[in-house]
Amino acid sequence: MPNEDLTQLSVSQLGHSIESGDVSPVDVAEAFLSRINALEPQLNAFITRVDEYAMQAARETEKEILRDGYKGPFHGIPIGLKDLFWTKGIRTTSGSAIDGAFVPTEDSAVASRMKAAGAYFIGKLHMTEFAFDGTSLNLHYGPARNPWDLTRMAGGSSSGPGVAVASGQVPIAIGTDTGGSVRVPAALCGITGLKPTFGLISRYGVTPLAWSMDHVGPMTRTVRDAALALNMLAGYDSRDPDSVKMQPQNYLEGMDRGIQKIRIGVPSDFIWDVMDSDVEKAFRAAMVHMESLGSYIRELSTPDLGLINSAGSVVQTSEAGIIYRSRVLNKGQHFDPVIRRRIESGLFIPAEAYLHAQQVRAKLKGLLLETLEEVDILATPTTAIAAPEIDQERAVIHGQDVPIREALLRITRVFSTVGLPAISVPCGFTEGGLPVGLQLVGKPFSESLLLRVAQAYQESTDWHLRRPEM
Amino acid sequence: MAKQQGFEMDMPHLEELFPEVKTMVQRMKLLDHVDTVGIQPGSNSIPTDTVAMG
Repeated sequence: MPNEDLTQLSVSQLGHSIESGDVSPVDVAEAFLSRINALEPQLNAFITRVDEYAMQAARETEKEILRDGYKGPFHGIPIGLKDLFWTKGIRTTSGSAIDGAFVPTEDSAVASRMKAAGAYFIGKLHMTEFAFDGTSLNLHYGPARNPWDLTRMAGGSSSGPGVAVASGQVPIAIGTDTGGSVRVPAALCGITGLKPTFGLISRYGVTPLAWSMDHVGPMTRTVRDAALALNMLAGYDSRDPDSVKMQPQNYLEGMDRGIQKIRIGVPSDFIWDVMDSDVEKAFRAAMVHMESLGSYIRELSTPDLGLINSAGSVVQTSEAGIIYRSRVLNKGQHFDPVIRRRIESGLFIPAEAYLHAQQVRAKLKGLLLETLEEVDILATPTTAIAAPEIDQERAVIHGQDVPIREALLRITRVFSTVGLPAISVPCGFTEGGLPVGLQLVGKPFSESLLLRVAQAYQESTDWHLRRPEM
Repeated sequence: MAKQQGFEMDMPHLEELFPEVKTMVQRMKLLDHVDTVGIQPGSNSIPTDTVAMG
């Protein structure tokens, strides 16, 4: 099989090829490194390349499989890691200049679990500084570019994972999501991004942005790969205070059962206050398709999602302010001024305002969970717009002048704030050829159902199979 | 407040920071009208024994 073909396969397909012996882990590593070499100058998806480390890991994996046998779907699979997952002996910048030389002395929980599954990481991926931006701009490392149009942003903060998976530089990447940082780049780059229920995947060894809102999530070509990744990554970890104790589940089970009689609710307000026409058109077509698969679609009046969004913003900024207080006050000149000001604004949020925002969050989360009793899942567009120009600051949408970051994050942040599981899958393209994301949101710990619905949609459409011309 | 937080008061940076703080204050004000009497400020944790597994 020619190297170029391997880079177009999903993790599931690559795993089958490795298990059957059709390809070796070394073939796989060579194919992806060759693709990275060819595309990286245009895309800038990586902050740190680890080619030698990856080749060595692939060679060791190959010997291991011959000696001890194949141990599962990630054995011999290269993974891209957003550059805020600690990797022992390999620098972890968190997209910042301040941590530009930081080399962790231990692995994050995610890196440990990957290694235990037989995978290895093939590079540390681009992100916005300390994950505090929904664009793909980075003053220190340059912008990551959208493979569908190099003049456009990839979304963030997990920009590199979005770009690298969409362009075939890696078959899978792991990102983090505090306000939409897995789902936004997934939508803008035309891939699948899963943010599980808060606490399902350990954040040990992840550079924090906001303790009560940070989630880890896989970014993949297919929903099946996202389920495989969740099988690998989910599990209790006493080192993360918010990690939940749950029986291990097989998220692949029941994935292909279809969606007959599944009730899908579409919020009737907030979402549509700011919405690009092409994005809405693709979303409405996706709902018609879901109906044709046997599900019931209904509009739903929800608690004020805008208030949840605002409460999330206050909580996130306040927590980020405390986390980075000493650094912005003492070494502020080393930050991108935009990120610095965003963090510093959190220091002006009084304790009572933070606590009030937490109360609002708790109240509205309760109301939203009650609303969710009327349906099985919610569906929305992932973002209000498709990928903006790299340096675009504002967009005019139906006559409204909207900041780009608001247009990108306003829908996803709602569901990070309340900790519900959410997935973004490709559901079409704008007239200009840019991908559009469909977001599905479930009840707490209903990942199996969420993946099943996303799978039914993906298996019966081909949006996820389209590739940018590189 | 900036002084209390340890900012250098003669920094021109503070002038640039002001609009960002103003935006944040507006967001806080949006929440003012929500009646939260009796509601305990929660974190994001969801006890696994209180929810149905999907």
